[in-house]
Amino acid sequence: MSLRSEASSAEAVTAGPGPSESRPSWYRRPLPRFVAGRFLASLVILFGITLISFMLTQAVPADPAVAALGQQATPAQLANYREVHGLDDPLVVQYVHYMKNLLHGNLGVSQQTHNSVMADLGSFVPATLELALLAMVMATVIGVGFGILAALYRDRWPDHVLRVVSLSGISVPVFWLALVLLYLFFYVWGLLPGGGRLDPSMTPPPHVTGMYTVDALLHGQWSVFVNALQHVILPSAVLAASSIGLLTRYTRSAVLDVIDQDYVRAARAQGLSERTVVFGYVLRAALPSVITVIGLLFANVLTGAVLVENIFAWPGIGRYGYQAASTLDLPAIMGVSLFVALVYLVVNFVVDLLYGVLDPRIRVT
Amino acid sequence: MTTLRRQSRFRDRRKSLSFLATGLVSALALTACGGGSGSGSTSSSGNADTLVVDTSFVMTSFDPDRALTPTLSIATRGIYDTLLTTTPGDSSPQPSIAKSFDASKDAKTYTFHLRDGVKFADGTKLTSADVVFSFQRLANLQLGGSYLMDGLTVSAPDPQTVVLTSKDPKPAIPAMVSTPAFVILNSAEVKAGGGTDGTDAPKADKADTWFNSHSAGSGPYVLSSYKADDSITLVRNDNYWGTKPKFARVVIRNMTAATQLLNVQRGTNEVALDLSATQSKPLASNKAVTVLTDPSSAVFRLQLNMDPSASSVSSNADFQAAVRDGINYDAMVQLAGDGAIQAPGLIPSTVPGALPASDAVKQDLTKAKQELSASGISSPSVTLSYPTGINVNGLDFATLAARVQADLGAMGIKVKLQGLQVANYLSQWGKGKMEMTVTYNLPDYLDPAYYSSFVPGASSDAVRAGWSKVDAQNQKIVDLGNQINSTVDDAQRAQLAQELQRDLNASSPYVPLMQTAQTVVSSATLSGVKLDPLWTLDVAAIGSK
Amino acid sequence: MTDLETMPIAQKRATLPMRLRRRRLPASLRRPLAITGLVIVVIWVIVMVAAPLIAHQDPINPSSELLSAPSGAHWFGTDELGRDVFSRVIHASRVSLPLGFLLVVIAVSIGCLVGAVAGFFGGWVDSLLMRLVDIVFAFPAIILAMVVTAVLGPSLQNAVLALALVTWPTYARVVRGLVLSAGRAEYVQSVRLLGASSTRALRKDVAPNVVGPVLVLATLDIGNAILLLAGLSFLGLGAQPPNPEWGAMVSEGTANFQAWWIGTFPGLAMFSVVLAFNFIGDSLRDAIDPRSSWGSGERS
Repeated sequence: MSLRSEASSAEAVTAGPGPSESRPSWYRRPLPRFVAGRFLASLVILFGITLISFMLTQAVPADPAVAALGQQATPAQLANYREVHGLDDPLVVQYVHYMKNLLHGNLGVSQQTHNSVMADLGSFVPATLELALLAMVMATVIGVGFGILAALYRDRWPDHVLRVVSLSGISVPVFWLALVLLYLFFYVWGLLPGGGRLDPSMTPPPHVTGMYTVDALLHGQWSVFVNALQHVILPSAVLAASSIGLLTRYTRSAVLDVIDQDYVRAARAQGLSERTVVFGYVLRAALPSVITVIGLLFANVLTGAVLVENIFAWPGIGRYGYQAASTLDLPAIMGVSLFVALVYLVVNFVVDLLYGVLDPRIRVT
Repeated sequence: MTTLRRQSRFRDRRKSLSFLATGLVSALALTACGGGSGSGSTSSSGNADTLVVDTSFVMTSFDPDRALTPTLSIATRGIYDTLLTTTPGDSSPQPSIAKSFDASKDAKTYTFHLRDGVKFADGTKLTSADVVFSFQRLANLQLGGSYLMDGLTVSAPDPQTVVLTSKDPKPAIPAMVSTPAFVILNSAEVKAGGGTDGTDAPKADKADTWFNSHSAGSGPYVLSSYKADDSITLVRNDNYWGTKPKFARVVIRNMTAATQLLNVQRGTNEVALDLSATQSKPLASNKAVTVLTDPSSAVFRLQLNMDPSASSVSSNADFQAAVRDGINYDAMVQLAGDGAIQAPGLIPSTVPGALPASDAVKQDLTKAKQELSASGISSPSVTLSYPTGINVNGLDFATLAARVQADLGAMGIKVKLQGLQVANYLSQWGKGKMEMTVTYNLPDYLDPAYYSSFVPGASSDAVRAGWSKVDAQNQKIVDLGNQINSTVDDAQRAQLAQELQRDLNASSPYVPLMQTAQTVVSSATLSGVKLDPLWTLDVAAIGSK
Repeated sequence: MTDLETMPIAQKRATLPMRLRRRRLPASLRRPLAITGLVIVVIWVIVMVAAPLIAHQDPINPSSELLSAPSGAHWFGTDELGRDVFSRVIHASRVSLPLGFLLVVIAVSIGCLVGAVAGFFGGWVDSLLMRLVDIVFAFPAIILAMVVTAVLGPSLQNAVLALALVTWPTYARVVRGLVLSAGRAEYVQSVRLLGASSTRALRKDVAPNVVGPVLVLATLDIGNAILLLAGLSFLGLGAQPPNPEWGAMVSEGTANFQAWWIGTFPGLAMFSVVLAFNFIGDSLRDAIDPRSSWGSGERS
């Protein structure tokens, strides 16, 4: 969803994004210490997430036994189920039991799919990743392009138009946009397929990455690739919409930030072509900020897939998480939450590292 | 600052535009490429060999002995066989794996003679041992469907004979063995997959996850793949003993109703199961699809609570009568859309023993007001609970609840609405303390005996209505319930069921509202698409014109 | 906005944060974008207040005309149950606008409290609160919100609570950062050296520096809050039928694609409101940070 992506980047304007709290200090501290510190902090966060999701699901007045056995179950059967699944144990015991399994890499068995949560994640994550990656590619290409354009035409009509366009991208309700596009592209014009990852008559390509487009290419299955690509375009375009808006804004700011710097002006004075100036100096200097935003957006796109995946019948973790939350499937909720948090932490970490590598000023210090 | 910026703008504007455009164009080209090349083949369903069934589902388990959900039953019908079978529109059990059966006069012993030469998909012979294993596993797992085996024992005197014996007379046995819970599993395969039929099954049976990737049946299809929450793919079973089905592949996809509506209009060989009557109405003129509206077996009801400790208001007999007479049934039926009818009693028209429409309760506000004042409750106020997050045949419980609130509000009864997420709802429901609720019921088997669970003292439904005490007032209802369970003659049993429903309509915590219709929309090229009250859809019976 | 011009200086100083005192706020709000946004918001507020006068037809009780296309009698057509879509879109503003506002107010209140406490006290209090913020940040927001609504039961009020629980950390971080930087500022240090009490320093010198950025953030967030609430309602976890709510209406519209008007108009209504708030918020952000130079303060 967009609230936090917008907010966290809006926050960047005023106070710097969360992970960057350590940013000014990382190049002062030795890298190993920085990594170790981050790792420990991440462990604390992940632990907190298990605790919160566990407490939340325990607070639910629903009885998992009734949910599993249905309306006709007798009290004896319910008691039996509770005993088998350890539901009568004290909460602390249940939690310790869960954590013990977690440390062994066992996320438990989903009450809903009756698969191990690990296996479920293994099959759902690549689908979401495929969606999110394409969305980020679209958003980056278009958003950065718009941003540079807007900066170069600062306060003139292309800038104003792009501003309205990017604000529209942030303002449009994702689920509504998804339905409108589905209606037009699938139902009215018949240009693109209407949901799922592949036509039912097609057999998925052999599993390598789990991303159908990539796997199909790896095996040279051209028709499968085209079919999979057609399926992924609409949902990823919808996911990209709000990211485009934000990326436009931040690219514009970042480019404006450097465009008047002395070295850029010097480069221009030396008679370098505009293309060289923009690509060689301006964009390069703006890159760290843009990468930070892309990182933040990527983590958010991954979690923001809930609505889009539901509408496009996309079997990713968004829909899995939605189903898990609506059936109060504790192991699955915990699994999805932990996975998403992990992605969030890793992406932030990578972004921070990249930031240091890419920002010339930081490197100079 | 601003002026400086203005000066430093680019001199060669075209150039800067052109390289920026490169990025945009490549992005657009990607979209256009997908769209362009796909325009010929983007129908959402496949070629002539694949049948696509779109439905919205939440799977619980793929183990037929563990959970019963409508989607699962479509796949189960394709993969497994039962001793007897029913066809849509005819609830009397017909031969299937059992070529015939004998019933003892007292309806306590049923002997089934198995068909010769039936093989499972893996080539092993189906024997009575498999039947015994399957039924015992159902009983011993102690899960949702296990109650069906209560009081029953299964034995196999020889490889071709199965005997079911019951403590009490149980004339519903033939109807019961035609249902999804009583499918016949390949015992050797299931055991290899971790299954057991022993009394320690709740703990020892580990086949749960195994069923997600394997099937162990003798039906026309075998499971090819199952992706949780996404799709089930069945392929034809080459060892099938009966007529081979038309389609080599069946894909059951999880789709929202909105997407189903679009898919079925653009697809070929496609069936959409979750469209409401209103949604499918505009499709009637569309030549590419066939719209079929059949009565579903779902009966919606308003349920009060007989337990005074749960509510002094809703347990009041006069109050119950006032509610019953105060509901605008016509408006309810209209909400449910085309094909829905007012439910004259708890039993739907798909089950023997349903009441004729003339027995339906009519709204009578004058009578209702008298009853309300007779109840002695001044300014009554009740909480009406309903499940959220599910809809049945396109019908939302919140809408029904709001309608009840409006009807009762007009009589001066204050109704507080309480929507509960479905898992919460079921837990609350199980406690039997809900003051008032809108709920629905689908029979597990098509016999009036199923409905004896609604009489006081019965173990399940009556408990939810706080109706566990048997007393002088409800003694007749209790007796009727027992008689329905044990009467051997089908016609007589149906008659008793009607009598029971009339009594329940006179005084009980149940207020039957309506029986919904289920709409099935399919590609016009398909034949044999029929709604099955037990299995939802028999995919093997579907062919093409 | 002319009020700001005529306001006594002292009062202005108290209401406007330091950076805004340079009269940039009125200037930025005089831009066409901001004016467009303000006009749309004002129109919607009028519509909200006067909903029963504008839309005469009953938004809840059905008429007998099912699924009729937009016409003179029903400007936006009728839905599956025969309810007037125009009337429902108008009445839904009475739900979405106040609740979106309420959600932001709750999130801002919690966030400001936590952020101020963390920033002001520092030490272990700060560490503890900021770890909590990190955890909530890392939690997939919509999953958390969904579980919370499952616990509390699906209703709009509970959806607001659930979303407030996942949105406050943003404000906590911002406020903490601002409190820290304001607290370090020389003049605050000197005031404290002169013997002013902590609460006085917080109220007189730190607070004004916090208000501006938080206001901008909050304005930007109202639009997002409306979207989030609508999203939960779309999933069936917010507004319950038959009450009109934009997200829920779009969801009802999906049931009847042929009747495009059921879902299209509530979507457009939502879009216009959110866009208007984003226009205003974006212009306000320019006022606070005229160079629009994200991150520059941090690095310089």
